[in-house]
Amino acid sequence: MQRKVNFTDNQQVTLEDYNNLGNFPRESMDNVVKDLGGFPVGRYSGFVAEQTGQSVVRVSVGRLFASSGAIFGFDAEGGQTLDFLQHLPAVAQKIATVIVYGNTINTDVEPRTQLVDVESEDTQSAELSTENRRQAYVDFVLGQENATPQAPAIQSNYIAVANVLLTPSGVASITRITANEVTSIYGNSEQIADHTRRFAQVGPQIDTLKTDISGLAAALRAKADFAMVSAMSYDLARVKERVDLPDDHAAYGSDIFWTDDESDTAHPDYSARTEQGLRFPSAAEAVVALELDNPIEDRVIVNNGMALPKFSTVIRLSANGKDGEYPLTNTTVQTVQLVQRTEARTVRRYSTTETQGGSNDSWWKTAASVNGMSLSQVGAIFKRNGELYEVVNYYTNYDPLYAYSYAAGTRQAYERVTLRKFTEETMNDYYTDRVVSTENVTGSIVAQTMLNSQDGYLVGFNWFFTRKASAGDVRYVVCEMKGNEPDLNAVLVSNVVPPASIAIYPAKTEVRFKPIFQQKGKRYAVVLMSNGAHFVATVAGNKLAQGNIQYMIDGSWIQGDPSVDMAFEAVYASFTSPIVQVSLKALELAGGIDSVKLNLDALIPDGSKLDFDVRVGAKWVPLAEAAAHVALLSNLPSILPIRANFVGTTDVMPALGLGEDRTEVTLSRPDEDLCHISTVRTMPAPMDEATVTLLVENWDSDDHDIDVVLLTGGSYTTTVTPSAQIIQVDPARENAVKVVASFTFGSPVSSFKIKITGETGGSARVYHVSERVDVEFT
Amino acid sequence: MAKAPAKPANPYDDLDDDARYQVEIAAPFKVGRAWVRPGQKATLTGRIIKDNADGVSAVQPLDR
Repeated sequence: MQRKVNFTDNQQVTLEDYNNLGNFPRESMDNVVKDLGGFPVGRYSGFVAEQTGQSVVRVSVGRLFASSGAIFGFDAEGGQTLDFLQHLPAVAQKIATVIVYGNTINTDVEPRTQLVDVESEDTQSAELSTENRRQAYVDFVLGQENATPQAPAIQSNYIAVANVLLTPSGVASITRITANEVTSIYGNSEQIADHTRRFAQVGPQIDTLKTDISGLAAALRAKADFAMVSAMSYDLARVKERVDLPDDHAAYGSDIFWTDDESDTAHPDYSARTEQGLRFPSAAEAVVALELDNPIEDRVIVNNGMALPKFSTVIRLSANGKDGEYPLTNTTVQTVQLVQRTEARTVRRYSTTETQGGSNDSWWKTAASVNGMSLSQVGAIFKRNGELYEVVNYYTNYDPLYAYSYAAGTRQAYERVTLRKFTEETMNDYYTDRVVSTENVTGSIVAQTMLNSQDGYLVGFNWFFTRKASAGDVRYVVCEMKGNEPDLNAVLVSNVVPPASIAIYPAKTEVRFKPIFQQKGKRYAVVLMSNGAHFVATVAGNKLAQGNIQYMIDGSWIQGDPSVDMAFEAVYASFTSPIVQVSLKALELAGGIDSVKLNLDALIPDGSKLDFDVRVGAKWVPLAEAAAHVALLSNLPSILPIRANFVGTTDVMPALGLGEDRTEVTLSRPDEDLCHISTVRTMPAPMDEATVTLLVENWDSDDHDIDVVLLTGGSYTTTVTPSAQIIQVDPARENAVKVVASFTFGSPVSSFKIKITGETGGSARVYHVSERVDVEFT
Repeated sequence: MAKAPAKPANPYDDLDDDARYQVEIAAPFKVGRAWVRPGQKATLTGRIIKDNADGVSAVQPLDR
């Protein structure tokens, strides 16, 4: 209790003092209810409503706790009876809400004698209230009559206690409104205890929920959301429509005839060629090497099978002197594997009767759509007969008009120029490890790195040895760099100097080797390996400035003294003439040449050019300019003179491979008949129908013929002819047609082969099938 | 009672059902999943020609 009334002996007591005896406890009780109860609106306790008659409800005693903290009591003996007889609905139903509300009243009036004059002690009799009471009242509020009655709205100072559902026959039900009932501390305590028990049970799971949710989030990040999958499904449906895939198709397949992996080449009837399309086989073919017409031609220098225009040598990089020496056996002996790189390749095709891959729209679109062809497709371009030729990575520039790089400054490793009858495909890597040779070398290993500041061909070194042993070869390796270390997996040249050839300083030990093209701005390393106790001269004071010495210890490169370099001179080629024309041995094919395919090792630096001319009649004609409709070899010459044109500068010229190891020239003329048989097409389930569509290019509608049949049965010897085969002109491409063959099987077929036969019919053109698509139906 | 007009005989009744013929198309029709239209070079079996006689204007045996 916040306040109490104090009395002292002989104190005069006022009326207010007496009244405060009641006011102060009431005030404290109000605060307790208000603060601890904290009800935003009033609550009640008691007031149990029960039906006592057909239309009579009795409400028991109870208390009303106002939000102000005031407590109003209702303690009428026997409670309060509410009779709804006069308010029963006529037809439907009605809800009467029993409400309570409070009011403060002065009551318990009694006759009391009242002193009116103190001195004379005169009194008078008066009727006085002896109790101030907070009285709660019970009443009800009626709702509207309705088939689905609603409880009535009530004033904010009323507290709803119960809803009484009234029907024409009386009270149907009484529903206590527990939401307005005050909850006792005991009740709260029971609920808290119940929650605590429940929380103890589920608490550990809740504690790990955060981890579980994180795990779920991580898993969800790897999933495509439904909206994305849904959008993809829509797109796929549109693509099916665009590519004419029926909605109910059950199986499908296609071949763009880039490789023969979907061709049954072992079939006895097989007679076809898969080279950027399905093509007619050669009626005659010769594979020869490109050779110099004059074996002692002095316009070029041939080294290791690579021909470079005649050059003299010049020292471009020099770190000359003898400030110290370094023993080649200074470090432990290592065994390392050298992976030799070789010159890149170029392929040139010319055909009089055939069109080249550039018009073969199908695979070219495929290439464009996937940002490049498959590695096996690229490998198929540059592969030579019987060779394992694996491409592990490449960039492609599929359209010379819209050349692009994947990264600024990236030189694309594969570039293609296609004219109607001529194709030029070139690997732009100067050196490639697509064809590799490896060797294992043992010795102490030291390297000198260097920066090459301008394009050019490195042809040799001048070394300076200060001492030499009587035994132990010195192997020198020129290689590319990987990061800041020599890369022995990218060796450009590897040779040996025997001890007898080693000169002692100040004499130079000159080594010369196959010219190596070095790009400007690129770092290279020369690596010396030996088991012999030879010493090389070193220069101090960072005279080279653009490189450093590194040693290999336990398989790792260790940087040496940064101010010390090996003494050496780098010798480069200086070409005599920027334009050199060289006659090559004439190409021969008995019966006549229609097509020429040159597959050559070649190194064509930026700013240089390597072209070929062929002599037709008395005129030399550039092969690359035999474009468009020029039927260069229409008279089928049996002998075709050819020459190479090297164009460049005095510093850089193209290099051309010669001989069997570095060139493959295929001369051919096409046959008049074609027969291609696919590998087995296996269906996921037996099919009733099939449609085979061919895209055919360079088509001559007057003379050409083509047929599609299916081979079925256990050994695929039963021929199924199409019930309809139509040939329709493709308006989007010149001289292209689409062949559509429809098949209906007498009984469902689980597998079959597709057989394509064709004839040129004496036409001056030879067609090729650039795409085959088959779709099957149940 | 008037006699119903006789149904015109199919001009291609004599064709071999399974043999293939070079066909000139007069009106488009569908064979299986594919449409055959005028102007296309079409090769059809005798059965298909009989089923679509209205769309065929000329038939020539395949010469191979």
